Amino acid sequence: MKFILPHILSKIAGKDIPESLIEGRMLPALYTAHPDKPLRLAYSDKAELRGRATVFYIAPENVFDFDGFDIDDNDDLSLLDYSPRDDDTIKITEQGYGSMKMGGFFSPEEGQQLEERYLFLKIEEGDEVEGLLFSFKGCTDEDHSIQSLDSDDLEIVSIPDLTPDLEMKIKQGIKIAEFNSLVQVTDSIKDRDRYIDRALKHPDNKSGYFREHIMNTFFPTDHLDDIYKVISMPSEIPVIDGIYDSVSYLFVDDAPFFTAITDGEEEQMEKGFFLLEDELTRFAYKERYQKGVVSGQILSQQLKEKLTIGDVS
Amino acid sequence: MKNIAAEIFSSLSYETIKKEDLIWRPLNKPSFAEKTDPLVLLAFESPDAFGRAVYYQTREPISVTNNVEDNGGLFSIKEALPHIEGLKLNYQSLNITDPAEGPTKQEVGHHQAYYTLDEEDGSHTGVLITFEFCDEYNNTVVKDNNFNSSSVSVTTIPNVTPDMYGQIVDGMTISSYESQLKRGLSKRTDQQAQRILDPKSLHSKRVKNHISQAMLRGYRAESFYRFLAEPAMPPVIREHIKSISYSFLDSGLHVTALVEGEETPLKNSAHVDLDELTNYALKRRYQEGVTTGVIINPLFSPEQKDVPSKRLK
Repeated sequence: MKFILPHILSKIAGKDIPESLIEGRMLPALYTAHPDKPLRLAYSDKAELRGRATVFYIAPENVFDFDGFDIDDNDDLSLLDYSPRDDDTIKITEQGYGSMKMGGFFSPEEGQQLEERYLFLKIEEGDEVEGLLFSFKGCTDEDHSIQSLDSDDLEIVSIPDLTPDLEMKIKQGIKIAEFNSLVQVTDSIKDRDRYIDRALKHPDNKSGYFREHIMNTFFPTDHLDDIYKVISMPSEIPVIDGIYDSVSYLFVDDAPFFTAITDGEEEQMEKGFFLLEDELTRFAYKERYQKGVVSGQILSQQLKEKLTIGDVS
Repeated sequence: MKNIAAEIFSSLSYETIKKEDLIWRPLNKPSFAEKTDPLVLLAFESPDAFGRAVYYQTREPISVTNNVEDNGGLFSIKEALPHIEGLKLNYQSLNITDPAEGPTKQEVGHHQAYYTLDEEDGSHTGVLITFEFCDEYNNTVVKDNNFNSSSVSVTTIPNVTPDMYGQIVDGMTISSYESQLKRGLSKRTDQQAQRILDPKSLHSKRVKNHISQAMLRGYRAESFYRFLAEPAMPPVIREHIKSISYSFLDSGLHVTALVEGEETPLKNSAHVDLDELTNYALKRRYQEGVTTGVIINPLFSPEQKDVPSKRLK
């Protein structure tokens, strides 16, 4: 397959970058060693990925600027299209992108959080397919710009013989890396859970490894032992005394719907009782998981006492 | 008979405060919908005792910062706590409240200190002092020096039994955690959960169970129970390791790796991510009841070694 990295780098640099400036080495173990690395997922299934992947970079003595290229600009990205000669049949398509927050690293000038941006391109020539994973280190999270970077901040991993399965795993790996870094740097439960929710619901994210990874970031390993113990115990019935006489629930489309009753009248659950609804939701899921029940009713202690008196008389 | 609330306000203000200077009333019943009140467990599990509790405030605002050094307009609540003979400090907690209510619109909380007073008849009176709307700074609860007694209350609970003591102290911890959940403070909430769930922590089983449950959060429950039903995913192991053995011991997970025919203890994540491995082992133990396991490395390749950088051409 034709080596087209010089063409792409020339577009990014805005000047000719000959092949002689590009160096390569085998993929170091560091690139797949930790769950927050974008190639980790692909590697977990195919160890030979490390054996055939190559990391390309520009030696420090040949450093060049990225002046004029904007990774977020579709027009600039379209410049990567390769069509120097009519008889060339090479096709370049963008297959994924993402960014990983570099926790604790901030740009000295602007004080913005630094991040590593990824761009994953698929190169096709006849039956041959190659993946190119660009990583730009030191972007700021404000505008994701790479314009102020130079080639010292760039590495490209070439993955030959890219299969659809490998392609999917690399794309998911980028998302795991992105998600993992967002979770690490955010100080807000809402933001973190929004990232997690988005990751779990994304239609591409179907692999067991992906879901396992995401779920394990919900629960730090140190707490998991206790959580399993709690899951094994009977459910604690939520206390609704003084709020409702009873609360019924029914699973519809895999989610519990609640109806509260007070003084014999059905009413909507009070929206302000966020923590109670949370507790009821956990209770309903645990009951379904442990006993297989998809509906139930919780009575307040006062109502239970009334019912007991009624039964006796 | 001395009134302990009057003594406390005297100690806080360095003035003589008599019972006549105080107003008192029974406690308002806390809502069970949101367990953000420190006495919520007492109210639910010992309603008679809760009904005997008395809430005190001063009739007129008085300064309660006379005995602490003015440190740039701030003082530490912990320094201001009263020291009265026979009054033993048992536990302190902070319940986060609405930032909009605080003087600086920053994160604010109610600081609670729970004491036990040994009575002459051998009984014990519980004393809960609450300092409202404190700013939090450097893990020290602070308040500006205009803070006065209108933000301080004393609650007395007569004849506290060991069970009631547990309900009060556990209720303080649970309500503190719930108040943070309500405000959506991620890192600190997780840090607090970690401290509570630490095997060495002295928190009760009830508190640990509650925190483990609460960490699940209602909107995570569906994903979590689905995750529980899926098989555990083995960790990714570096290629030069043939297999990994693990077993649960009292001291935690004991891991050995088979490298070049020799068993080697694994103590860090250089060859396998220990969090991934622990998560896998815990899930298998939960699902299958197994406490030992051997993971054969599908990526095993004794020849695979990193090579130094090289020129392409």
